[in-house]
Amino acid sequence: MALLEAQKLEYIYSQKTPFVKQAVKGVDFCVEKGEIVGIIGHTGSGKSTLVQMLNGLLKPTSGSVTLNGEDIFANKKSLHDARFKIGLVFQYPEYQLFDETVYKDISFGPSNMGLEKDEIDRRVISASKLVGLPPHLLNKSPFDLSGGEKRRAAIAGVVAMEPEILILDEPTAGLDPKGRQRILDMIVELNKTTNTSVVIVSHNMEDIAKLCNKVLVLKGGEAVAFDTPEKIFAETDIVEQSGLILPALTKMLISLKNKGLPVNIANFSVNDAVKELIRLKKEGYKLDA
Amino acid sequence: MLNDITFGQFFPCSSPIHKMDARVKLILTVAFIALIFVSQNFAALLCTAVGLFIYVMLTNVPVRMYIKSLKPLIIIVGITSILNLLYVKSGQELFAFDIFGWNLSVTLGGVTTAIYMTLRVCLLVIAGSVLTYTTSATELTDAIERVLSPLNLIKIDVHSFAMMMTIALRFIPTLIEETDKIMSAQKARGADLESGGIKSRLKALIPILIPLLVSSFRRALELADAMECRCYHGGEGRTRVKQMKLAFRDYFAIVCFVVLIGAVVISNIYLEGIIYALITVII
Repeated sequence: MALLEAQKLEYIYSQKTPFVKQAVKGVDFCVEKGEIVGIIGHTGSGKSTLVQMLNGLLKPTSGSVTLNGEDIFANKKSLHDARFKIGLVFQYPEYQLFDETVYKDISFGPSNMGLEKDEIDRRVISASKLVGLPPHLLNKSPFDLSGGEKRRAAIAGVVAMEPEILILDEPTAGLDPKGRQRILDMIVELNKTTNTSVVIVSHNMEDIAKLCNKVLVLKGGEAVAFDTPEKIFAETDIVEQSGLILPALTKMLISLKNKGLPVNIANFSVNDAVKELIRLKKEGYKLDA
Repeated sequence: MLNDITFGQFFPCSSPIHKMDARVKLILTVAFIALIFVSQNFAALLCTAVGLFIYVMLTNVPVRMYIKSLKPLIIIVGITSILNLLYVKSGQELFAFDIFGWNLSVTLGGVTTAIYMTLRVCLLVIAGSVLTYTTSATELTDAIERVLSPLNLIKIDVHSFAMMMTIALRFIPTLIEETDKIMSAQKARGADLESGGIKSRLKALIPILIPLLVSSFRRALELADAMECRCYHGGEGRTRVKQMKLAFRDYFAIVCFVVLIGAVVISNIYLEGIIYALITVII
């Protein structure tokens, strides 16, 4: 049984008005323990709506979401528990910071869970360490931080609830390359050290390709594909019809493959790709065509 | 949660009323509201009601929307009706009763006042709704600016007020969206907004209001910068992309309205006695 399972999820905005819009159409997918799952799709493909249904913020028009086999919409308590077990980091989470100090802001989630003071303290410290916030920032006002620091503080606020699944909606949007890398490293570290499942929404294919075990491709609210990144990127059509652009590296490897070279396209980092090319060269293939 | 704001919402669809000049709609709505209060008897009110009904039918906006806009009034109208029923003493006494030693009676005058008041308030709100349902916020403020432009002569900066109104209206949906987002984000962190006493509920608002205020100021600064970058410096010498021009339908609407005024005046003068006589006979 999967940790988190979504079945035939549908969501319709503004029903019975001229603004009616179906954002999500019959999406099935699941997240296993310890997995990193990516959700990609063009703007308006229903990514954000989908993740809000996954932790019970939006009630699906039809379909179900189950956590450990239990319907999260069954009753008030299950819904309340789901909020803590499935942590959701919104797009531009820095706009939700509000408290006097960073420490207090990070502790907002854990204290809503009704934890003991010592436990809250432990969680705040470990979450801020994980996201890379130096301790001297914890006593500052969140509004005095830099953009990247604010983002990390906001993510720490959700990480500190120690959810079983962490969902991040465009966690790297609007950050500089360094800030982006830090967030991605943090995700990998969280996943490795605590075996927390992670769901990342993004339209950056490079990030998704590098990080994820599985990828869900959305197009116009429908799930076009749900598979490993290797398999999905091999089907160039699916990706491009969904209005997405393949990573440059993958494009190059695919064009080599189309020329008849036995190349493995599942190399998503520059280092791996270089190794792959060296291997091909050693085996005597000509690459300068 | 915040999607229930219907009064004052533009309802985009195609209808002759949507295409009407916003200035004409604005002036006619104000004049119509005056007409409602000038109508002295049932016949006159009936004329205004029929006029409004035809106007509403022409808008292509579902009747459901108008009924929805009346909902918030139920309490106010209910309470004032009861007070009118009990305290207006004129005409024939219909029935009397005692509650806790209070001697209360309902008179014909009370009944008619209560019905007039209810009708007037409903007509007024529906007339206002037609204007806002069929006119987008930008059209409306533009119309207000032009209708009030004579005030420039007495040194009132109409343009600035119109611009402020446009910006305020423009940002209502944005702020609602923002509030929704922040509420969702805090709910995702376990904020409980729906239970507890007054004190804990007020406290629960802090995590929403502070980010909302901060982002409003940020938006205001950004917008001011963007306006300056486009050389905005007030209304002086500004020209418009959309020129408002009266068309046949606007003149036709004005003529219809004049006819309605005539009908109301005639009802006021000649039908007063007849209706009252009819009611007295029926009772």
